[in-house]
Amino acid sequence: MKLNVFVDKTKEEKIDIYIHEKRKIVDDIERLLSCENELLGFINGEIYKLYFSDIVLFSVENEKIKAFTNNEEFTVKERLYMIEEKMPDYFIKLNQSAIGNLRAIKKFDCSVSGTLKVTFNNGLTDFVSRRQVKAVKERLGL
Amino acid sequence: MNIYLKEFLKRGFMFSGLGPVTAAIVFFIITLFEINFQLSATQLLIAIISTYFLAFIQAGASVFNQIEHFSVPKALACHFSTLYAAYLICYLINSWIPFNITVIIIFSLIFIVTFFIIWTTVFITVRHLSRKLNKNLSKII
Repeated sequence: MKLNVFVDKTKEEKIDIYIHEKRKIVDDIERLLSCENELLGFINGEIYKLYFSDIVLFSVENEKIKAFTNNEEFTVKERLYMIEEKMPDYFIKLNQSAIGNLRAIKKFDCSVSGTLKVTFNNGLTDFVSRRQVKAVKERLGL
Repeated sequence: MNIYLKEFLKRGFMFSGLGPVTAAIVFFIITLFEINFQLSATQLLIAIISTYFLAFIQAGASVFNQIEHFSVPKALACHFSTLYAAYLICYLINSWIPFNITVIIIFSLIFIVTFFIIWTTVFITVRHLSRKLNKNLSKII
């Protein structure tokens, strides 16, 4: 991949990336550019810095907000509405108790109850509430 | 408390009030066509209470489909049998159908066909949507 850097005070500061497929470098660049996109996660009292790009799903469990990455499960202090305010645009609210990373979705399915089931790359599943179906469709260009 | 039982009760209480409201609308429509339609106070009380519980069970029973360790047939069977029992009991105690084996068989057949038509329609619609969403998933970067 080519990288050109121009120092020119007359131009707007911006980065456009054209790639053939999604690569880790894009996540890394996003992390560098948006320091605010970080959260603190807790496991057994230990504190970890979390990046949105690593998080697959935020979900409410036993009235606590959990952040699931591919391999781990963290508790976060923020409420879901606070996460919604600062989440990147590749996250979407799935239902009242879950926010999912669109990039980490493996597939959509129909559950036996007739709701839209979401399976993530790490095997976690959740569902899209009827209220959120429209938002998910729009986000995916339907 | 078991999370599924809690969810059953939550959903049940959320929508149970719709039962008597639906019954009242149906009674109103019947009066438009049948001028001599009347209900005694006892019949009305039974109708209100039974439809309240019917709506409670109908709303709550959807939780069977979200019990992860249930297979699809098991979840469907639990959902179907709970609804069937609730509807049959409600219809019989309100005398909306007579306690007669032929009538109960006809009721059961209609119930089974209706249940599966609704379930199949919803299932096909959502499956079609999920396929379209899956096609567009790759566009998300």
